Amino acid sequence: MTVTENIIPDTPAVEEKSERAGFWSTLFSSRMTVVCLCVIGIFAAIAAFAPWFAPYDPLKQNFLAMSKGPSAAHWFGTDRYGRDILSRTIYGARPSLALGVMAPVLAGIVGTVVGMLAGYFGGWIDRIVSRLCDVLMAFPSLLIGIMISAALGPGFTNLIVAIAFAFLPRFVRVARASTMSITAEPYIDAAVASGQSWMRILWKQILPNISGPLVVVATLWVATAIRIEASLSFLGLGTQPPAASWGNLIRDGLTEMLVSPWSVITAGFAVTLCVLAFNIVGDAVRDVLDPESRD
Amino acid sequence: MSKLRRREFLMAGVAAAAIAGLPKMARAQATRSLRIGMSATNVNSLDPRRSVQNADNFVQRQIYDSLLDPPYGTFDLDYADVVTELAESWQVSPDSKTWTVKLKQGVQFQKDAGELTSEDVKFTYDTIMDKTTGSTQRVYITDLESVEAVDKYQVKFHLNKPNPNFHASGLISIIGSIVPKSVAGTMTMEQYARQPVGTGPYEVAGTVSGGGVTLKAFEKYHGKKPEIDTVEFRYMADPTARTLALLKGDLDIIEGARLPGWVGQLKQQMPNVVIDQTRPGSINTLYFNMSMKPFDDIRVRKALRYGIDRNTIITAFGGIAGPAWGINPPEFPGGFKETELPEELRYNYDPEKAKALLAEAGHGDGLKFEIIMTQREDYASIMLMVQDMWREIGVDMTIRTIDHTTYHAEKDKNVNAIVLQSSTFAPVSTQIPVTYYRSGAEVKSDGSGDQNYSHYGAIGGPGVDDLLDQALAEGDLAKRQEIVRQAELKILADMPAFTICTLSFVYARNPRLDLGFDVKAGYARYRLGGAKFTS
Amino acid sequence: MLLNRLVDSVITVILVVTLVFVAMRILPGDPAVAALGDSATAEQLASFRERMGLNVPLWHQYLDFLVNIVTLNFGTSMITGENISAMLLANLPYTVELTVAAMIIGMIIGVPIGVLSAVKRGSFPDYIARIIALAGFCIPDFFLGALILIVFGLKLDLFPVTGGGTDFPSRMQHLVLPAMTLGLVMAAFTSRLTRSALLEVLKRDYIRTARAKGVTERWVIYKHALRNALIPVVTGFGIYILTMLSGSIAIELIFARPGVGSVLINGINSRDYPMVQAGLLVFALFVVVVNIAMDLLYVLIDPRLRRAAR
Repeated sequence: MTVTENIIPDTPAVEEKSERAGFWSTLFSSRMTVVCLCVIGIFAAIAAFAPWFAPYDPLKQNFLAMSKGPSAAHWFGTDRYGRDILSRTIYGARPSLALGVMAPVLAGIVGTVVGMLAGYFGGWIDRIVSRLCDVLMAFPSLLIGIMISAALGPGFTNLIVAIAFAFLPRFVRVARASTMSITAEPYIDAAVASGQSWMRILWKQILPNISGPLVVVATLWVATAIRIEASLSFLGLGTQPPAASWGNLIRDGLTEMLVSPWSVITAGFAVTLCVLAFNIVGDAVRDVLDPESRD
Repeated sequence: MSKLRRREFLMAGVAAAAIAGLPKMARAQATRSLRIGMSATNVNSLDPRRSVQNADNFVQRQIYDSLLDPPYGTFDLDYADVVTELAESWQVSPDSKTWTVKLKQGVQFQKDAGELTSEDVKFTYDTIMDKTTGSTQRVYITDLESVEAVDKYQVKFHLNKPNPNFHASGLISIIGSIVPKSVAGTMTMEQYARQPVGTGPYEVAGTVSGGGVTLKAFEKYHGKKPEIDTVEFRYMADPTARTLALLKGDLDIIEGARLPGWVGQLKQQMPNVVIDQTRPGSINTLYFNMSMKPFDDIRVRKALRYGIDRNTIITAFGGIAGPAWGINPPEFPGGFKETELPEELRYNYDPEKAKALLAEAGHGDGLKFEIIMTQREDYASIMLMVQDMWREIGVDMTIRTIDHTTYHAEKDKNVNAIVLQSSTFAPVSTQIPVTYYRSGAEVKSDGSGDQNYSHYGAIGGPGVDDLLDQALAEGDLAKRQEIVRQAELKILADMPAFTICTLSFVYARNPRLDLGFDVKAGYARYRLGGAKFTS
Repeated sequence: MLLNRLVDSVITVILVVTLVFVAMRILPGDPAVAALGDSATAEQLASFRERMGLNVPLWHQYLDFLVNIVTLNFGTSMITGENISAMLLANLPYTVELTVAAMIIGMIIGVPIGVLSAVKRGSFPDYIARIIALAGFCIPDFFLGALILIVFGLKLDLFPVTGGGTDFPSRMQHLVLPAMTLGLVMAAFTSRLTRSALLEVLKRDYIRTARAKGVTERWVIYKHALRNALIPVVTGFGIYILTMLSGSIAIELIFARPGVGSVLINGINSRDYPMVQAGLLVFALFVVVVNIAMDLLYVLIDPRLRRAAR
């Protein structure tokens, strides 16, 4: 057991599964899961239909209402350009959720390909890939995200690449291990004997069998992706103004905290709630799809 | 269990109380030092001949004396009013081509570097003019032909063309700051930048961890010795951090944030704060790139100008912004006031007229384009407001935000359709038109051009080049200004660019500190030698 | 095992160094313009590039870069001309003291909560403790920092909110709020880890034996269970230390503290290549060092493993 494996996947409540017996916890986790699914649903709807939900245009300035506190017209007040904070927070859900989904998906696709190749062929490819994974796994994903986006510069595409890269080794590992265990099955030997190409075997025989665990891993990393996006935007490496994202709303909000802390508080709670919901649902998905991966 | 926890919490509480109790001890120190928070991340160069950062210039202003300077707190360049620091007296020849400065005797350099003489003055200017030294100030004194040390205390500046304003570009701070030949002559500018020696009221004593520099009063200063012994310049790029530190009394002066509403927000938290601001400060001008469609069409350019409500922008900045009607701001000698302009050249906000002009130019159903813009707060906030106003007249401008240095690099390569430029000039009427509106200064795609972002003169604007050349050759100040005003009227009619507003440099000061003068104008720096705490 | 780790570390460093180097050269924005400012002329830019070694072929720059790293010569900042090694050295203590203080706070708060939570499993306090741990896990550290800054910066005048302090007392004062921020996040991790480790241990045979022998419950927990449970807690710290370190970047930004993180972010903002390179390198080295240290600690703490490890 190495240190890094200890924390992967770093979602909360890892130990809950071993206590199925507790009536409390079962009830708690299942009801919690439903609530969290609803929360995610609401966030997704808000992001998808942001123009409909937002009371104002998030970029519309109003110099008659600069830096105002909460009021009936602006529930969470306005920023220094008179822009509505609630509307900006609603629009801020878009980059967060888009990235939260796209980064794990990208990492999943690339990681699966690399992991399957390494697992199927073994040998030096496998050794190099595994070693690189070990090396990368030693880094917290936020740190890798910072390093990559420091190098690539800000921007949505760069952000996806940076976060996906941070997640990559996790997917490679799962894909590799699953592929190796399936490759040992007799029906793969049979397929090889019948002259099927390796590409066909990977695609038709192996991929369908390993997709379950990969979906689990992808779900588990959505929450982390959202948090990293917020951190990077906060550091000025992520989503760029005037576009709103939760991270840069908090960053901008700090310069206005003397007057109104609402920008910080609204966006901060949005990130926290979203990360919480995805974490809990991620755990639940794992329980359903892949109960063994618990330990 | 509970016992254990209680004990731990108790211990934590005691520790916290002990730490919280420390401030009283720390504050009980004898003499208070003056602490200033600058908007920059770290000291770049304390060599006045090679420096690009305003925060550094502020520090330099304390370390060095200048030959001449406008009266403190002003930008008054009248020959009769200019004050002398290192100069005993000075003279301009009738043709404005020779400037003679007589130095004070017995002025000592810090760090025992000896007495200041004409050799040091000559050395300073020679190294600025030398292309191999990498001085950043050379561009400002291109009309300086040579410097002659007549005797130990007398220097003559020979110009290659008449310039009645040479003192404004060449003799006041920061360029007028003299470095000692005996020290600076033995090392490169980079080396010297870290161990500066001047003749000013303060000398370098050390660095501040996390970025900054500490100064201490110079014992052998030739003028009045400062009352405050130590000055600490802390470099803090984050405006919130600076503001909080001022509110908590940790800092006495901070460089303000040039953001809408910042001054008002600070005053809410600290009603007695003193706001020191320079008028006009920086001049923020929007240039249309006339080499690009549709900005070659004067109707489009005028429409965009009519679409900007400059009063709203000025109001939003809350007292730190001001209007400019002509090319030179009204605070400059010869600068146009609103009423001096013919009605059609005032371009007051008129969205209906803007829409009509756009329709006439064939853009009735809207205009869409993308520009790049720096993320620096003053630029970004002006452009955000402009973007929003233009949306009202059907103009959809997408802003791609990039960092400040990239913006400057790209802007100089003729890639931007619209360029916002913030710059600070001494109140000399020729400088702005010559820098931005003369065909010879046209921006070029390979980056080798200068700062005429609109291509004015090369595209349109007949006769303006001639007027500007005429102005530069004119030795008489009043006549010069009159020629420049003629050129300004032509430029305003052609609308290659227009000034959105002027934006003061802002410093917020704790009222317990008295500077000894009021800050009204000037570059974004002032002297601290006369400062004292009042209570 | 240790040898493997060392080889890993060398690979890590080389990988990161190369990655950093390559990425830094494809960045947009001209470093010479960044350093000299807007008014610099073409020949000034050229002479600057020459002095900074930016005008030689890339492979040559790369070799220079490697040699400089091996000799621990990070060069001078392009913007300020300062010696980067000296600058990092001056900033390092601030980051280290923040991380260490955060860990201590995390332990002091987290371990007792974790123990309580495990011992009273399924009870109301456990429920609350787990909710808090979960919340602590989900709140982004910079948001927590921002909240603390708002509360203490504007409402409570107890501790300084900006800067890093100079002499020892002022440094301790300046440390309180940033360390509290990261410490609370750390406490969430620690309590969770403690709880699960303790639960795991309590199920083991020797605990049952001890209980059967009539040893008091408190004694069982403190003497036997907790001690064994601390092994995964302590070794699990490695990744948390690194998480704290990456979190310290944002925290330094919020509280305007000096530190390696602020050096890095300043470098990024001003496009100071050598500075960003050096900053990233230091963080990579942190990772390597912490991992090696944790491996060693693990072997030291658990004698059985020492034997098992060949």
